[in-house]
Amino acid sequence: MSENKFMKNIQDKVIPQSIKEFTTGQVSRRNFIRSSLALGALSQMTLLQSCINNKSDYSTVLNKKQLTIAIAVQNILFPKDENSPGALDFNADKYLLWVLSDERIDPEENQYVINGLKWLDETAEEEKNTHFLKLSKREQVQLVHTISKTNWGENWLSVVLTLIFEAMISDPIYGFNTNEIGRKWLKHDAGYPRPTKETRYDEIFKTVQQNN
Amino acid sequence: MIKETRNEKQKIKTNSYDICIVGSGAGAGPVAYELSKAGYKVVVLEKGPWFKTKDFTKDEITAVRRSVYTPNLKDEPQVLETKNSNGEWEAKSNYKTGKDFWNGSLVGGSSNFMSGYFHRMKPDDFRLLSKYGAIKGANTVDWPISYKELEPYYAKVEKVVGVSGKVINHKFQEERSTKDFPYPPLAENVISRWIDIAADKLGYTIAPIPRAILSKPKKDRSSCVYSNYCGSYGCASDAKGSSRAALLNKALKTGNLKILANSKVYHLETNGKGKIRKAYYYDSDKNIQVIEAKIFVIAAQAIETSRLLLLSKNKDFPNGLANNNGQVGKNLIFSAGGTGSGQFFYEDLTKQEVKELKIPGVFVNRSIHHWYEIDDEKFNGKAKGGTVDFLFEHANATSKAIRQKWDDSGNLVFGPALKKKLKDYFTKQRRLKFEVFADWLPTDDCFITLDPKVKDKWGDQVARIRLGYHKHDLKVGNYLAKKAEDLLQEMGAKNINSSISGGAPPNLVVGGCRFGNDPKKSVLDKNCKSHEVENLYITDGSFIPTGGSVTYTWTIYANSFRVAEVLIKQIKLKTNMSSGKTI
Repeated sequence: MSENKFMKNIQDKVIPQSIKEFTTGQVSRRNFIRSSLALGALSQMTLLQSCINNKSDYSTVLNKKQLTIAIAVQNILFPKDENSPGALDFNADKYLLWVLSDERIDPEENQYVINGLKWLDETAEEEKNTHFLKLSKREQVQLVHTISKTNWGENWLSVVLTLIFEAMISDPIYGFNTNEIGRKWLKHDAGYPRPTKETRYDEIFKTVQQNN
Repeated sequence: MIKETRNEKQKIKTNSYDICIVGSGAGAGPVAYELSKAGYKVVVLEKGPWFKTKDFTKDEITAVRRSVYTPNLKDEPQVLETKNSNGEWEAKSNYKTGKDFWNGSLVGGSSNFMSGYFHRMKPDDFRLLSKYGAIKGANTVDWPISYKELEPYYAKVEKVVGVSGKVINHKFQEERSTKDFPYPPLAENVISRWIDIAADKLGYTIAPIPRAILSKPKKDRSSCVYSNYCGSYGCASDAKGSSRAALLNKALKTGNLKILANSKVYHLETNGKGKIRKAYYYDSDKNIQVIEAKIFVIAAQAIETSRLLLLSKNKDFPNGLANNNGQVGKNLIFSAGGTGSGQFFYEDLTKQEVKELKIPGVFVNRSIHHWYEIDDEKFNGKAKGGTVDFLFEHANATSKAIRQKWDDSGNLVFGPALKKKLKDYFTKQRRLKFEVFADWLPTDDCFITLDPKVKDKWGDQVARIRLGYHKHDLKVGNYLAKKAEDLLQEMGAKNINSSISGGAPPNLVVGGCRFGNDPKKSVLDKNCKSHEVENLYITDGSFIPTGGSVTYTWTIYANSFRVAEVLIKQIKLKTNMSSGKTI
């Protein structure tokens, strides 16, 4: 692959401003996610907006290939070993789908997560002349290391990692960190009271409206 | 006018009260509490929803990973002006940058999420100009009231809101009308003792930090349950002295207070004679509603209070309500300083020390007061200094994990290396932090205006905030941080670091409508009544002309109790005059 071609593609990879600043540590309280109604008029939102209305079917947020790439990347970023859980042990893949289907999250930022899957695959084609999923495990790891040295790649992997961490720490009521496997590994004590079905994130807005 | 055109299109229902309060946080609570107790009909208009105690949990996703307690920035952005690399002011909507200056849009406001580190301002903070002199480029002034005038209300807050702590005598201990706090200190971690020992060796003046958290029950409020998740989280036991738990809930019991949640005030209408008649607001269905009242109290937190006045233009106030002198929005201040930390590794400690250090939930509660006044040739003699509070790193696990994503060179870490880093961080050490508080000097480069283009979801201009700071703030901040680092060194901490910057902490914002005796140079008089509008009072932190070197909430509470007393006296006076009675 020529350097010029690679540079051109990097320039095409638009990182939302909020995520750029988040990954460089300039945003304190807020993570990359900002609540938002999904009313954006951005043209690239088509896929996501067509999916988020069908909350019961998370699989429509990502197609099979995208989801398989996402899982592979999560496994590289947070692999399982004999002494500790991996990303899939606390269902980071399902958590990702839950986040991508959340109407309150800025569609631009969720689309960025999806775009990164595409960009990774494009980089595999440019660098190795084949799709990411066709690479050996060792080559996949190598490619993830390669993109981690690029501006877009470092940002994107950082966001994917944040979502893995959220899954790892999340309360079991959300259905991902079952048996608190992630918390137990880190010997992390969660606070009380724990969220309930009325007070969990995706229900709390409805619950407090009844207080008026 | 725009607002009147809107009104003509919709049928509006009007309700009438004695007092209308905009906002429900620390500036609003005391007024609502005192006036409703005194028998007046009070309405509170709160922009956000009404979370009750039962709705607060220690769920990290809800409390800190998503914008549940603050508006989403797409609906309600603000525009921030900062200097770019060329030294030019550059304005950007925070919808794009994510730098969020909302602190809590819900009943009780951001007081729900404070950590409750409560400091009184000290007597010299009320006379900064006359005590320390002018600093070039800073709009330093003396307050129109003294510490002595505010002291009884600090004491009242201790009792009514509930402040726990212990008074120890030291050089900078403020004069008190009561001997000690009404609530004993909260339970402390062993590290507090280590701090005391190190401070003693270094000769530092250090004191326990009072907290607006109950250490024993107070009627229907429980004492602290040491959940380990305090700051940024709503209190599930009502031990924390939020405006909601400590004041509004009690005021509701009088039957004289009505709280209207999801009610966003956008315009205050005057009668052409310098008096507000009505507050216009959007309800949760975006319908326009109107409240009539005799007195209007604005306490929407500094930025939104100035914004509301600037939005409320009419022919008598073409530059915004109470702004014919052009002072509304000026002299916005934050808290200068920064943070630092050091780590205590378990391998360096005995088993017993590790066991005690790891106990979660109990507090550190120590503050350096030694340099509240600096006497050092680096400052050409005496200068105003500040305080340093010590606290443990927050228990938020996701935030802690996120900080492990990068190595010392700033490269992203992942895979087995990241997992080892995470495991070590969570299981082999505990981090002690410190927060430096110094005066954020008021300047002409820190103020609020209306952005000419960006509008919120209701179509109203949003606040534009210029975030300039005075370089003297950094000098003081760095001086104090060095002292705190020395203390950590003495304690045996490792990886000690600090970061002092001119970055504005969004949760420590006051000013914009400073009070003063000169109507040309201030928005409010000494009683926080507008110089220009007869029945307008402002009781959030907007009134503060110079910030002191401590967190603001106690001072905001105290001042609001003071203004509430003034209001009651004035209403009684007017009532008696109109009925022909003499006082």
